[in-house]
Amino acid sequence: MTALRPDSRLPCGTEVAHILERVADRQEPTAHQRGCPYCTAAWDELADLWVGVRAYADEEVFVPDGFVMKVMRRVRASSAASRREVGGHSSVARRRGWHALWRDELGELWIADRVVAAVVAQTLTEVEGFERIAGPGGIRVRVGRREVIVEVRVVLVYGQSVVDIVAAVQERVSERVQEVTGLLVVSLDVVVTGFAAGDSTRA
Amino acid sequence: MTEDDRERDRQLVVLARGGNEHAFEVLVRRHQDQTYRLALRMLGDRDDADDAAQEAFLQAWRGLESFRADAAFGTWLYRITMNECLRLLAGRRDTAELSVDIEDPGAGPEEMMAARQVVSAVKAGVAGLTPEQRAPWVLREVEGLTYEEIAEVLAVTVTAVKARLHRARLVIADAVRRAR
Repeated sequence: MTALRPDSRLPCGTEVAHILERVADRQEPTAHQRGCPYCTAAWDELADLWVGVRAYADEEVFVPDGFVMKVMRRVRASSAASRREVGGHSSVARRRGWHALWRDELGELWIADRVVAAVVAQTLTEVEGFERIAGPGGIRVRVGRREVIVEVRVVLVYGQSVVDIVAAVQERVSERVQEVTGLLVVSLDVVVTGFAAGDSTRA
Repeated sequence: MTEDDRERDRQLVVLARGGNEHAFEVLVRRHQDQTYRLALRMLGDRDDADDAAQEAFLQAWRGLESFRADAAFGTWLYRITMNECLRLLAGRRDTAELSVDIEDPGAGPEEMMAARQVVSAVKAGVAGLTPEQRAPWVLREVEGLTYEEIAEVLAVTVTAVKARLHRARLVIADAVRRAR
């Protein structure tokens, strides 16, 4: 091995460190570096050194046995403790789940998921091309603290672009839910289960 | 990590925030490898890495409310894990040398032995880095983060990341070169 030092400069004026950076970041050599004999020699040597770094980086690491179990045990212990701290009404609501919580100096605001579902249902009727919600349980809502995930199963009027109707549903529903409840819709999946109107394409 | 993965993470975070422990468990499963690997590469000791990774997830659970919905959960978790590792390293500095997880190269075909020796040299080089140099180095070379992501994890500028990474690479290159 030559005495190439990473902090030195090659006879052509190129800093070794500059080549090292390109090698480490997996970049291509510059035009000069490709043509210059000093640079290509340095490049090859550093690339050779960096093979060891890649081997180190690729070495498989095994998470200790029971890791997830240990974490979850601590998580459950931690939330049990915080439920005791909150106490009273909040802990009851939390157990039932899926309620949004706002908390400020004056008090707390809880929103049931069915409130959000009602807003979604009302908004859908305002979308052109929407026929009805598919079956019972056609609107699913999961409310976090300030966010909400919505899934709607819908039957559409046949003959219009499904893509356009779905886009309109997503836009309108997100807007209305935020307007009315202050919650942010982070995900809104629309499942089209069929078409209405007397047509042979009924699904 | 694809955009779909990030979206799935976001949905799980929303559920976990509402108190859903199962959703959080899915997040732990999805991110345990990267979290433990980062801790191991930073600390160089399996037991310490186990503790740090557990602690990071616990802090993530408690701090879910401060997580911004537009951020990537993985990056946020890297940040928590890294802070925990740096905290441990700062405590260690007064008491003992940085520990290194250098295995005996052992016996074997000549080529394998040579490869193991190089990896050991890299490990020794990593142990020689200061925690401030080691953090961007591990995030870049092992975890493959971009300069921008590293800057976000370490809460420093991209320029600072480049400078620290540059010094770290010089140290590593020198360590590997001398070992040969």
